[in-house]
Amino acid sequence: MWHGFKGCAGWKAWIGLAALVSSACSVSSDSRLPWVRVDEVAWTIGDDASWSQIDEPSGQWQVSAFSDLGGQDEIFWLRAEVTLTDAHVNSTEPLAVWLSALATCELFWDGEALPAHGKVGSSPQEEIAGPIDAPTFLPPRMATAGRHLLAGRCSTQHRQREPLVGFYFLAVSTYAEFIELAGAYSGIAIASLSAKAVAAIYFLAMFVLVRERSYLLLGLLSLSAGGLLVVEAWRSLVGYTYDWHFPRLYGVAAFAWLTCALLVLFFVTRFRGRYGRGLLAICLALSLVAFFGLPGWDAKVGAFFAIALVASTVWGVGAIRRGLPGSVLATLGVVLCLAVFVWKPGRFADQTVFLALDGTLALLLVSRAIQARDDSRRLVAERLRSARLEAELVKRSIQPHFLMNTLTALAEWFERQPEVASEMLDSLSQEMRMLYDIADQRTIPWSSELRLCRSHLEVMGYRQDRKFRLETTGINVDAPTAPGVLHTLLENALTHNRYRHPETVFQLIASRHGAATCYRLETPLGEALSTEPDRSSGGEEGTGMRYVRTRLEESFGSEVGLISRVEGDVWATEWTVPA
Amino acid sequence: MRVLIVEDETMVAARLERLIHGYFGEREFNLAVADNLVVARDLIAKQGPDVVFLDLNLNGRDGFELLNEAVAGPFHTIVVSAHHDQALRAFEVGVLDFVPKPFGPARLEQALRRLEDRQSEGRSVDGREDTLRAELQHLAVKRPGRIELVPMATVRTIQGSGDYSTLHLTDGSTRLHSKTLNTLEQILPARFARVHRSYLVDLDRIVQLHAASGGRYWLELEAGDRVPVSRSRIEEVRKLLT
Repeated sequence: MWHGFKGCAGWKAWIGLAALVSSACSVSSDSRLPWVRVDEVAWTIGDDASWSQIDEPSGQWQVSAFSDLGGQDEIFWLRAEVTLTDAHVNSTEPLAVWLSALATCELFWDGEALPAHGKVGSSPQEEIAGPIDAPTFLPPRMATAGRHLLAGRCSTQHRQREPLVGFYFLAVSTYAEFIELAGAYSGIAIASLSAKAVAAIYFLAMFVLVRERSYLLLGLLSLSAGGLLVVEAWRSLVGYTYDWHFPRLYGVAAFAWLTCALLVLFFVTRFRGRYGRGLLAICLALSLVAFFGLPGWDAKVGAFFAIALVASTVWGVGAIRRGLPGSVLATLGVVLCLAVFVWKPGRFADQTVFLALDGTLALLLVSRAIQARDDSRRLVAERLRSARLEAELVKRSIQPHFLMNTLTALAEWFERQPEVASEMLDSLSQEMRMLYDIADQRTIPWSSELRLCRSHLEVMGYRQDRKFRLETTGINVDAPTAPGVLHTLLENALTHNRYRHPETVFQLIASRHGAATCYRLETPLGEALSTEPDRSSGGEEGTGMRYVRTRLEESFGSEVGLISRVEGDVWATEWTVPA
Repeated sequence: MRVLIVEDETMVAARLERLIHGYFGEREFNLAVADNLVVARDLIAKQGPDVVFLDLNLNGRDGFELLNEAVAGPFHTIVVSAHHDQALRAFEVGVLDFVPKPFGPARLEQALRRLEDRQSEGRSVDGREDTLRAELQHLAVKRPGRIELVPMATVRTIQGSGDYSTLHLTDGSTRLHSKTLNTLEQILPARFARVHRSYLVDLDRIVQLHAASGGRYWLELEAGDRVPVSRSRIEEVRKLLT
C-alpha cells in the first residue's frame, strides 16, 4: 500500500524560525526547491525486512499523521510515499531525507537501505539511540523523478516518558538547505549568546568593583539567559541522540525559570517597595502551578515568562509612579519583551525570547548606566561635602574671633603670669593638633573627641579666667563619634552664654536603647541667654548646629534624631546613633 | 576722662583695663567694664562716658548693630576687634579708632593719645587721621526705636544745639544727633569746616562768601541757604575757599 503525502506546511517551531531568518537573509525563496514533507504514514508493530520493499506489505497497517506517531515498546515500521519532481532531480545540490523524532530509525529508499544513525533494537540494551535530528544523504542515483517508497524500521527504547509529540518532522529536500536552516538558527543563537556574555561580564565586573546587588542580579540574569540560549541551541548547534531530549527540556525549563525569577528579583531589589516579597511569592506559586499544571514544555516556559514579564511590568510602573530613577528605561525593557510575547506567544519560549531579552538587557544596561552616572555625581557631592566639613572644622581653629581673642588673652597671661601662659599655650597647641588630626576622619573614637573638647575647655577657661569642666556618664571611649560634634556644641554654649561662676560643668550622658545609643549634652543656661531672649542658640538653627547635623548625618546616616531645647536651667542637645 | 570697656572676654577686658591704667598713670580718670550690652547701656546712661572701647562680637552677636547704636551716642567709640577686615566699615560710621586684636601697649596708647588730641585741640591736621576721617560715610542718628544711618553726602550744614547737633540735609529735612558740635567736628571729614561757633559747613557746597554791613560775613550755599561766619574765623574760611 502506498501512502500519500502532502506539501510543505506547518513547520515545527524552531525550524520555522530558521526558515524565517533564512528568508530574511536575502535568499529568495523562489530559488529554493519545494520541501517534500511527509505528513501521513502507514505504520505497524513488528519487524519484517520485506516491508522496506515497494510491494504491498503483509500485516496490520494503520494510517496516521506522522506527528501522531507515539513511542512503542517493540520495533515498528512505517512507510510513506514520496514524489520527487524534475526540479528535485535536476538540482545540482544533493538531496537528503530529514527525520526529526524521538526514535532510532533505519531508513529505506525504494527498498535500499540509507546510511544508518544509531541501531534499532527491541530492548534498551540492544538499541543504540540515534540523533534527534538526522539528515540522511540520498545518493543521486536513487533520487529519480516520480514516486518512491520511504520506509523506516524504528524503535523507541530510550524514551524516558511519553511526550505530547515525539515524531516531529520527516521531509526530503537538498542536504544544503537542511544545513543552512540549522546554521541560520545557530548564527542568531551565537550572536545573541555573545551579547549576553558581554552583558554578564560587564555586570559581574561592576558587582565585583562596586559591590551593589543589582549588578549581581543583572549579571546572573545575563548568565541565566545565556544558559537558556545554550540549552535551546544545543539541538541545532551540536545535536544529540534522542535520549538526551528530556534532560535538555528540563534544562530549558530550569534556565527559563531562573531567568524569570532573576528578572522579577532584579526589579524588586532595584526599585524597593513594600510588597516586593509578596510579589516574589506570588510569582513562585504561579510558576509552580504552571510547571505542574500545563501540558507541553513550550507552554510551561511560556507561562514562566508571562508571569515574570507581567509582574516586572507592574512593579516597574509602580516604580515610575514613585519617580524612582532608572525606572522608566527598565520598565520599557520588560514592556518590549512583553510586547514580543503578546505578539507571538507560541514562538516566544524557544525563539523570540532571546532577541527580546537582548533588548531588555540593553535597556536595563542603559538604565543602570544612568544610575551609575547619578551615583557618581552623588559621590562627588558627598566628597565635596566631606571636604567642606573638614575645612569648616579646621577653619574654626583659625577663625579670627577664636584665634585673636585667644592670642590677646595669651599676651595678657604672659605679662601677668608666664607660667599660666605656658599652660594655656600647651592646651591651645593640643586643641589645634587634635583639630587637624581628626578633621578629615569620618568617625573618630570618643576618647579623641573628649580629649579635644577638654583642651578647648581649658583654653576657654584661660580666656575667661574661669574653670570649665566636662563630665561624662556611660560613654564608651572606644565607640565612634562624628569628629568635632561635641566640640561644636560646647563652643556654641560658651559663645552664646555668659558663665559667671568660678566653675561650670557640662554633662555628657550616653544611654543604650536597643540597637542605638542616645547621647545627651547638658549645658547650663548662662546669663546672656536668660537676660536677652533673642540670643537663641537653638531656636533657629545656626551655623554650629548645621555643622553638627551635617557631620552626624555624614557619619551615621540621616536618622540621628538631633534635638536641641531648653529644659529647666539647662540647654539639652540629644542625638541617637547606631550602637 | 570717663572710659567704658564693653568686652565679654574676661582676659581681653582685663588687658584693656590694665593698659589704660598704665596710660593714664596718676592722672584722674574713671574706668568701668561691661561684659554685655545690657550692662553697657546701663553704664552709658548713668555715667555718660567720654569714650567707649567696644568689642564688635559680644556673645556671638553681630557687632555692627551695637556699633551703630554706639556711634549715635554723644561719646567717642574705639572699636577693639578680632576682625580687622571690618575696620573700614567701622570708620564709615564714625568710630574714632579701630584697634585690632591682639594688641600691645603701644597700639592702645596710640588710640588713647588720638582721643586726647581730638579732645584738647579739636580738628587735627595729622595727615593719617585726615585719611581715616575721610572714610566717614554715614552719621548714625538715633530715631524712635531704631538707628538711622545718614549718608554724609546728604549733609549740607551741621548746627550746634546745646548738647546736640542738628544735621541740615540736602532734601531740606533735619536730624538731631546726640554728639556735640565739638565731638562731631573731631570725626568729620576735612571738607567740613567750622565757620561759626554754631556751624559746620560742607565746603563743597559754598557758592559765595558775602560781606555785610558792620563787619559781618555770611556764606551763600547751594539752594540759597545762608550761614553766618564768625569774625574770628573769617581769615581761615577765606584760606579754605581760595
